[in-house]
Amino acid sequence: MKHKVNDTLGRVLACALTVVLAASLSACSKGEADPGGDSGTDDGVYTVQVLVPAGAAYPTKSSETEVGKYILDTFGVDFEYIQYAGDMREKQSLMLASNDYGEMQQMQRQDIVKSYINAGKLIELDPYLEDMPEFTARFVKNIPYWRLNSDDGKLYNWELEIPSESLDICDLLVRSDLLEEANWELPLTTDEWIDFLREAKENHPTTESGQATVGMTMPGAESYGVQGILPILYEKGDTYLPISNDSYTFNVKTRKFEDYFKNPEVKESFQFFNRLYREGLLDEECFTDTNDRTIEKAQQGVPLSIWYVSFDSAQINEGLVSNGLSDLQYVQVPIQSTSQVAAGQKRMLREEVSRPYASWGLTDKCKQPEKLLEIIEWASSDEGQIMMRSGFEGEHYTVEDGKRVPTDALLKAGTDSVAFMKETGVCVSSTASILAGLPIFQTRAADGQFHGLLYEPVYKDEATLTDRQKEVYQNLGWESSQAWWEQNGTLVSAGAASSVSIDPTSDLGKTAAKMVEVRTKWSARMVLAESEQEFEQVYSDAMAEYDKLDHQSVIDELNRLYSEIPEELR
Amino acid sequence: MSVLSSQKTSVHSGRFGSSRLFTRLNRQKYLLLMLCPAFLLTAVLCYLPLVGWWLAFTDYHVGDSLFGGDFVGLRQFSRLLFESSDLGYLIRNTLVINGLTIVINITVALVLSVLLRELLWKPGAKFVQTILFFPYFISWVIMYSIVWALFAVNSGAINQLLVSLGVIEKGFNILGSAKYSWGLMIVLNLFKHTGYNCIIFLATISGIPQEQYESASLDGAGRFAKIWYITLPNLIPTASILLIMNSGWIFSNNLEQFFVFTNATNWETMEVLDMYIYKFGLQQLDYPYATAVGILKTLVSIIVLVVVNKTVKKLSDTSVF
Amino acid sequence: MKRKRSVGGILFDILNTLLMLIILVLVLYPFWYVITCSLSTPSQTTGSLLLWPKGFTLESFKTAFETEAVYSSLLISVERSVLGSAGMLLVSGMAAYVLSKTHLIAGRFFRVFIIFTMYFNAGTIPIYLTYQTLGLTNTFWVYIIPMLVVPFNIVLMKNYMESIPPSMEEAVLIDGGNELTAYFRVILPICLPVNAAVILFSALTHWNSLMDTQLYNSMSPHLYTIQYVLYNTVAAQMSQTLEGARSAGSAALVNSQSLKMAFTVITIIPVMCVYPFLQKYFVSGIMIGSVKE
Repeated sequence: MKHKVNDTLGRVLACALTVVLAASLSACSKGEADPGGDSGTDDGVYTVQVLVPAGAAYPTKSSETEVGKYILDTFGVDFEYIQYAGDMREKQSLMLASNDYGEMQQMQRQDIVKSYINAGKLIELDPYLEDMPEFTARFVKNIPYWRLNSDDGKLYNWELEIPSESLDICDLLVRSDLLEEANWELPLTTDEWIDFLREAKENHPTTESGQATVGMTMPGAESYGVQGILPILYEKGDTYLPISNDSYTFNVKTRKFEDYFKNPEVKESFQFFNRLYREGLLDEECFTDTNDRTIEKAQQGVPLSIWYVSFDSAQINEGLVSNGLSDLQYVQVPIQSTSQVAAGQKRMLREEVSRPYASWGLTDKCKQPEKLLEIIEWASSDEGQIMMRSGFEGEHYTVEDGKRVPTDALLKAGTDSVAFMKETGVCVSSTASILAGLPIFQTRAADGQFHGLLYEPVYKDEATLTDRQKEVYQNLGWESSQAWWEQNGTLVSAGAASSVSIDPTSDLGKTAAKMVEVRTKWSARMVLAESEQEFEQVYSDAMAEYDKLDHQSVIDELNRLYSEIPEELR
Repeated sequence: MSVLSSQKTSVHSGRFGSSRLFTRLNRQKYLLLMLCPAFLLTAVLCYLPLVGWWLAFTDYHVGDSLFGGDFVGLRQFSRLLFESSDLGYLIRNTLVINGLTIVINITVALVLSVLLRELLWKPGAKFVQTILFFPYFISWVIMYSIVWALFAVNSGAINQLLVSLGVIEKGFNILGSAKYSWGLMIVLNLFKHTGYNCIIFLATISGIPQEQYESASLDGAGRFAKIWYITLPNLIPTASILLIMNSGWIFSNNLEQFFVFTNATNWETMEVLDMYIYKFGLQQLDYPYATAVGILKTLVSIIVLVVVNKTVKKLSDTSVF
Repeated sequence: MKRKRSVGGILFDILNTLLMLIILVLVLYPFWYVITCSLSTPSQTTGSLLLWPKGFTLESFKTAFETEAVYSSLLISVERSVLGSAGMLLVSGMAAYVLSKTHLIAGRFFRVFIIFTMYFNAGTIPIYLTYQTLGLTNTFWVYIIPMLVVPFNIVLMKNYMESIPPSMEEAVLIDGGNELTAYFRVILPICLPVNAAVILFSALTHWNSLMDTQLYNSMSPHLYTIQYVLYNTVAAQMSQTLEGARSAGSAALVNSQSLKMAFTVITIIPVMCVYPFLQKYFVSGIMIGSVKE
């Protein structure tokens, strides 16, 4: 028996040894191969590796797209995109700590930008500005804010997605068949919506397939869920700007920061959701629903309305159509609190002049900064930005009477933007351009039209709305899907409010984080109170807990930092 | 007397300590040689980086060199001390979930491995053992999806079934209520790791010499007597060792697991210490604070480990150290 | 040898079998759910037990296999699993043998030195800098070298070795051999059951690993492991949702969840092939105990 065992064992060991040898040989070759960690310059092409958040549209190299090919031919630069699915801030931080960052580096939020600047890792851009007239002109309002990031007032970074003249609205999605039944009379205040949903739920207790409906739902399990969008009723008036999901809101009238949790309009938001809950209209699963779940429910018409997440409407409606429920398609409609409407408050629309989340800079590892800045200059110009957002003349648009008119190819891209962007490199609607790091904005070109033709309201609706949605808006008497906001909204500049931040590692930073913690933790309890008295009780308990923190110091510090910013920038 | 121990006591004058030491070293040179790779790797990859614990005593900001921050002494630690009243529930949750998980996992795996061995149809036993292993591969994100699909309070398949059968009025809100956190995590931990732990016990069982069973048969021992007097005693050392080793991790949790299951409604019972370190340390990019809390956590864990090791050694003469 | 079965014994067997069947169902069902979900249309899966696929579609698998990096990353994962577990067996196995010797000089110190490392962590940044200085980052070897010493496996092997009668090694030593030969010729073969177990654990850790790729090799696409590719692909799929952008056609048939399920199925299949092979080594107790005292 022992003999037999040795034989088998011997054979197995021999086998294993062979495999191991083979594996180590091939591994050795990989280990020695150029890891590609350095960008190279082969045959005159300057390849730059760029770390980007994971996204389906990214090609491996920018030259695989039409726009990227143009950039390669014109400037001799090719971008290699490396997708990263983890937390970008942590990665950017680790890259700095380990001295292992890229040539062109993204930095999300001010604390990281400042870290890179203070460590001396970013190239100063001022010397290059005299050769960049388009860039300087385009961002003339924004550059002063970018200078705030460094102690010496020099320019080290630029930001994407600004300036923006297009409206980015997230209010309420409602099932259009319900509007039809209500004879196209649109509720507006929270009270009106509760009445509307109550009646709608009575008429539609289940979907056609027998699933119970819910009055309103939202993806509470997402990081922006309970913390960010549950209390956001405050942004629907004219006083408070949605600056962050953190510990503060910004009062545009007094130009001062105020506490988030103690904000009375935030309390109204909780009250609204509590009322929905008590009337049996709130989806109890909303606290544990991820975005995927919300979309799936919506694709079967389960929620009668959906809070905030209008960016999912396209996918939801497509699902409804393929499920044969075309009449249920959702449309975006406005909502304001009863007190906001009673006070005659217009709907504030935020205009950002600073967006630290999307900061980019050139690091000291950059081999040919002039080359890259040439491209950035080009992207800032009308010519470059039109190509990045509308594509190529003849192929994607034609020029008639000095105005650009989109071709069918471009209009089709409205509903197929990812595949289109992957092939052409043209970013028609969202702000997530695959040409990472290059300036991208939503303003009008010299010909008076948006650089991206699909931002023009008339083309946008034509390209992105389904027939049902067009029908709905027509019945509502709206010229475009954003008509109500254009008529009832006021554009307010965020000014320097987005540029103020507290160092998260400081004591105040810790307090600020705790403020958010307490708020988030008490949110669910408040919403799930069983009566109005209980709500008030929970609210005061929450405030008592909250008052144990030194929240006033955080707000004071924010206001102090704000006052240190030059008057004209505020 | 074995050759090895005779080597140890063979006579050498004890007067010259260093020469005796050198002789011992020389005699054990092959042993030390075999230990070399592991020792060097451990020293360089695990202990050398410990100098990084210096971060906890400084004002390090990302971008500074590792030793560049200003020395602030125990400030990070005193910060933690001020939070300690808040940490009460975190530590309670961590200890309950982990403590019960350890005990239940080991017990179930032990019992199951014995039962598997006793199964009459051997191919069937092998099949069960293989299948038992699969949950190990299901990531926590997917585990969450499955639990949601079955037990979402309104849409969950099983909840819907039970409601339609009239067994319950409203679905169990397993994911959205603080009542179920501990039970849920313990059950899921069991689910995921039983196969893994069973293998350890099965490997031990397969190492029990057949003669022990044969001589027990000759002595007239029945099936259950064999299990009780032979199999189980051989498994106790393994179980003890697993217990000791896991006790050192009693304050640690898998972040991915708790990330997906913690939400605004169940945090009182679901939040664990590692989540705190992540949220208030790493996510804030506050490495000094995260390091400081980590150091304290390590110290306490090691104390627990040593205590458990000593206790188990006293009770059953098995130990890891 | 006939086995006498009492009534108690028969009852036990019935209950045991029943228990195993229940366990089988409980454990198999989630895995089955993963399979059926990967073959279903996402919008139809809510609220369903998914005993069979709803809206059968192979789109998720198609998307999975169309991911460019899938094949090269599978290769990398296989390589590191094989090399890594073989290396671990070599290094940790020898260490376990040495540490099991009670007469080892400074034995207590070495045991504590190596095994305690399971319980502390120097921190992400210090470890990264150490690996970087050693030239491990952005290479294949960062997958192998740090995982050669696995204290958990060392403890398992050490425990097993302590139960081996010393007469086995003595035979070798008396014949003029040293501990090295004793280990490879006698101990290693005897430890087959526990070796198979630790090889399995090690291979699985390598197969499942994600964090080390993410931390150290994220800028080296040719070194990505299969789990990292899957993680990236799923995140990319999810980003389509968040942007409100979508690709016509396949959007309704695939979402990030069904894709995750498909990838899970893909990554389990190789394990299902390897596992039964290893299993026979740690369940065959017949080979053991051949010492004639």
